[in-house]
Amino acid sequence: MFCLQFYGNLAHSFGRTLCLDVDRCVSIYSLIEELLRSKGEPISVDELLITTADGKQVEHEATTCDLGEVRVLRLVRGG
Amino acid sequence: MGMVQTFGMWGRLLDVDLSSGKVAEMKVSPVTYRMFIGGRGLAAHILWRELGRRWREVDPLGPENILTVLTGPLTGYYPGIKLSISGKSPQSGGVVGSVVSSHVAYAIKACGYDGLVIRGASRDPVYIYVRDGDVEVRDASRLWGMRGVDLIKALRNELGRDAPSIYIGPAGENLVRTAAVMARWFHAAGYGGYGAVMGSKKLKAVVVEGSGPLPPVANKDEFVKLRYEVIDRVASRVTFRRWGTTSAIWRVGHDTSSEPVRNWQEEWHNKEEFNHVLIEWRYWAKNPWADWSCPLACMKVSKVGIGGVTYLSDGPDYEMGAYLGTNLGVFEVDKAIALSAMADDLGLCGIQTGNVMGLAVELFERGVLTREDVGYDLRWGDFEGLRRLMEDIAYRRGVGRVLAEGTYRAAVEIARMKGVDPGEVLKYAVQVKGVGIGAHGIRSRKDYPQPIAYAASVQGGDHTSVAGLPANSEESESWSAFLDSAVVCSFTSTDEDMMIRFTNAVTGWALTKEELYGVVGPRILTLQRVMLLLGGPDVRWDPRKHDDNPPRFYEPLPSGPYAGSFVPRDEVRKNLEEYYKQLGWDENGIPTEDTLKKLGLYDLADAVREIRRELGAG
Repeated sequence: MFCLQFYGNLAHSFGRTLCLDVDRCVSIYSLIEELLRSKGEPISVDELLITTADGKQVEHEATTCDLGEVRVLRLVRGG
Repeated sequence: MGMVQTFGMWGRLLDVDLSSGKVAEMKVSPVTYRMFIGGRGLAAHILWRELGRRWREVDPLGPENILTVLTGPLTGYYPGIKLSISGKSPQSGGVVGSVVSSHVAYAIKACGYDGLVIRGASRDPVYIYVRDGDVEVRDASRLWGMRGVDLIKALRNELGRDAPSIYIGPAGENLVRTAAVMARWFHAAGYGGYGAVMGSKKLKAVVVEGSGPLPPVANKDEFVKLRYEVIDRVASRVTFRRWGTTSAIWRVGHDTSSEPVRNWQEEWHNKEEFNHVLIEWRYWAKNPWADWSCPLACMKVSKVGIGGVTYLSDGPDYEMGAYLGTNLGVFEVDKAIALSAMADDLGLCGIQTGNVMGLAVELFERGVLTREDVGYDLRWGDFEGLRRLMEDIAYRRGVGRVLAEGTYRAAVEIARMKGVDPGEVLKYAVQVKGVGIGAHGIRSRKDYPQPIAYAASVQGGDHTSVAGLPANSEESESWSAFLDSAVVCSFTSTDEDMMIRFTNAVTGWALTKEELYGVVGPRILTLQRVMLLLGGPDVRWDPRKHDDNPPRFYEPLPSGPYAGSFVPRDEVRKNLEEYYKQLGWDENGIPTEDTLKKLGLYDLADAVREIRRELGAG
């Protein structure tokens, strides 16, 4: 089971917590990108900040086998 | 350079009294920095200490107001360069921590100081010149009246070189409440209206040249390691680097449907010609362009010619493209760029000015304002009329005299002129507590601001300092308060773990996430909140009424992929209550005495009791 904690308006779209059954090691960033696309969310993964529970940015190479849970937030707030 | 008070900061400010011409040194203790960090937090602390007891009586445009120009502990160390500008705001009556990209920030530190505190008012126009340890208040009579570009040229001629400066244009001189403190042609500290505060002090510019080192950092090895890591991360934001915020002109308008269109009557457009690709192809004369130490380089310089006049502008960045483009019904890119360039040159905040101009055009369209009031017609997208209106605001001519008061005060005054209830005009005013809302709407729920983003913000409509739940995360306004106090550009900021480690490497502190969200952030917000609720002299905010969204945000979106979306009032109320609770404020959003004790702000207790008493809330 791999869980995503969504913050802010992302939680309005996905719910606060979304747990997925993932049966192999997949890229966390690709997984989230696919999720955004499937839901038709008008945001790209580049605009997100994906962190561990203690607020550390998840490496781009990380897979669902490396972590059990991530936080998903907006990276750019402004502009 | 003297003794370091705390790592990363010198522990002293220049205290310049423009009434007497005296310059003194103001010490800032390591404990004060630890409590308020620097920048926005330190500004709020200084303003409360110096003016708190008579806060309500202080006229933001009177000599008693104090203008703060401050750096933070990360200035000069963290990639990117920002400067904090604050004071009692002529827009909200509270304290707005405004920031501007400016080389003045590192120059101040290279002079051996952490900032300037500017009080009093000069009789004649002056500018402040700081070079290392020397400070002069110089005559600026010949500079007064100059627009931005001419002023920069004149200063260059006078000094014989380009020196870092912040300055005002004619709008600030004319005490326009939407006037910005400008830097390097295009940069603006727009929120708060501090251009007018500089104007009220007859202060045309602050020029700073420093040749000394920055103060030492606590842990050099860790600092160097983290700095390289941050540079790598920030430089990898290739989309942002290529397009800056200009790409949002299309993305926010078309995709997330949260861009102001015709005074927020809509938040969506499908004008394909109004997009960053076209702007890059046709108008960008320089890309990328960066300020000192910035690996992101999100600035782009646009050049257009209209009617024989050449206009140079940054981008336009998203906020300018939105507020001086779509919000005014301008969907021709060259004209939006020209209006953006004009706002910069006149020293106007494009957001606040575009906001009040949008109100004026809608009121004209609805017949509330007439040709007799304005002197000419106001129509969406009419470049000539809009250009004229912007100049009238900057010079307080005709109806510009009223609009120069900013959206809230202009709406109230127009209602008075027309003999109607203020609510009849305020319902078209898209502002919160005197501050026009930034160009990110909340109705589609696809952009970043939450439903209480502006309603609960201690900086009103400031889109760079939005409130949100949960209060112990980056969604909270505590995060913005932290970035503005450490004085970091939000575009180069990274995750909270990195930001905290970086801060600790520079300062030697042991700041934790729990302390940031549980104590330091809430301390700055609570202090700002109390000063906002005290307000005065001409505005007073009742949180039960004014902690709310503009009426327009409760109307369903009329167009686009999220047509019909709106924010339910009961959700706003529920979220406000939860947000107050998480910050230790009571059900009306007034900090409790226990919270003041916990945050080390007990000197606010009398003010809080007074606010509560006036509300009849105990």
